[in-house]
Amino acid sequence: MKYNRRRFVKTVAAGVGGAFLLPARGADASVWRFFTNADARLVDAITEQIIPADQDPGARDAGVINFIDKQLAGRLRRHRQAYRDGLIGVDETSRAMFGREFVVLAPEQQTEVLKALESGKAKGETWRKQSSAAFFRLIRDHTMAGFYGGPQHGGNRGYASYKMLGLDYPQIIGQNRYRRRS
Amino acid sequence: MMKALLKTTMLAGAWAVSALVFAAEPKLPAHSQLDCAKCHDAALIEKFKQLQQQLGKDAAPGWDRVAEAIPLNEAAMQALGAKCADCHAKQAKDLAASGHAMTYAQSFLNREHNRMEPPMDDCLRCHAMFFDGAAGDLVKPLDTRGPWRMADEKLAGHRSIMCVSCHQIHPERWLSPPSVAAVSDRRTATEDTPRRSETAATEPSKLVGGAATRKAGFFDRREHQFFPADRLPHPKVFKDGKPLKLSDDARIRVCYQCHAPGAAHHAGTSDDRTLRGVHEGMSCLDCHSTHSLDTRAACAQCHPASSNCGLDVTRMDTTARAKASKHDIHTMTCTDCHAKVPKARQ
Repeated sequence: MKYNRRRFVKTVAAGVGGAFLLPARGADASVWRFFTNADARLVDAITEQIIPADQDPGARDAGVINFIDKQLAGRLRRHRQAYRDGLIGVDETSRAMFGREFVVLAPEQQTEVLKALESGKAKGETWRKQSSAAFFRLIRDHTMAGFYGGPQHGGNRGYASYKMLGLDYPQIIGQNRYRRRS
Repeated sequence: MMKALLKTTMLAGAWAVSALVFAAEPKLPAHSQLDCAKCHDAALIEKFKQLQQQLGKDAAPGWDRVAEAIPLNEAAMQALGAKCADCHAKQAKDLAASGHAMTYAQSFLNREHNRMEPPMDDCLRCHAMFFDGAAGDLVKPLDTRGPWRMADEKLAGHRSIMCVSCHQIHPERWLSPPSVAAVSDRRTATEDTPRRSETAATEPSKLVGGAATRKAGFFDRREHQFFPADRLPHPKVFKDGKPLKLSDDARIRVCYQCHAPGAAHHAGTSDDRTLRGVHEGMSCLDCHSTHSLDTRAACAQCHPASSNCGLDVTRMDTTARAKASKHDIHTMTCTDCHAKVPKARQ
């Protein structure tokens, strides 16, 4: 193919134009590492149902969503597909039970949906391919890890769970002395 | 004439209003006047600003929120002490003359200590909090037999404790926890979940120790995070199963991060220096100067006015007079000197 001046100018113009478009697209993109903004809202709602705020902070206050997102972009990336499918499944069940998406349900209705997932009897096309109970266990375990684990992993913001449990942090502890017995 | 008067009145009014506005403006913290590149690598800062411009303000974390998260490596941290001394000369001189001015070699090649227990990673929590590596990268071998040597001789003279061990450079930007939470806040912020980065710490003015509880703190190596004193836990120490009375001074929390009792918090275990006996309930800073740790003039602050026996306590056989004295000022009781003490005072 002959590469004349006109074609060259067109290519350059397209390239420069494309480069300008990239940041514009980036501005609309998810601010999360793995989740879409919609996914993040859904996971946030699920985790808040698993550890709701009462007199102490809940999963939302402790930033559990940040933990799960961070881990799915890192060490727990093997669970990505399970989340992709599972989150679709949660909304399918929600619609089947209450006609609306999970995030807009009343807290009691959200609990009912999660109970259905936990029992493994949840309705929805997705759950024909994978177990709803397995997905519930997965997100429950990740919620616990994000809430009770060290903040350096992305969750337990402000040491929320440590404060709730009355754990001093940073711990007041002297040298780890392993004196040999004589 | 009226026109000129009106003009003058308006000008005077504007001046008064502006004077009030500027007077009400909070005073900027001293460190905010410093160029970031004085401590951080200039290239790194430039890179970050470029990134911020590329991503746009909404997508990129705010400069102020990540300032604490831009790490200095150990070499830069060691060099930082000299930079602090440019302005804080007296404090730097006091620190250099104190027991806290120990080097890595003094900390990790201490035969007496190493024969008793081997050097380990946990030592770095207080003795090399900014070191980029593990205990094995500092000292070899990690056993109780020795002979011990520095893994790299160039590290021998590095300071174990520096200004930044207990002070943060960006006090005006104290956020807890810093970057992760800040980013997380931004991410989870919706109409239903307002931002919560200003998590509830006790108002420094309400703590004993006042504003100093925010000036001092502890750099936790494990979290790579600085905790101001008002966010550190207040110690609880027990003797014979009963809690000892501890000072309410929040600044002692900093001391207790290293001079701490063992896991069960029994008085006198591990590095605990909790005051018991006649001095129970006093603050570490009632006697020790903050940087020099000097105690020489401390006794005279209270004695003989509050002395029950009228003795010149500065001449008594205590650790204040002779470090080798068995009458440790931290633990001494009346019965250490007085054979007969009424039961009520024992």
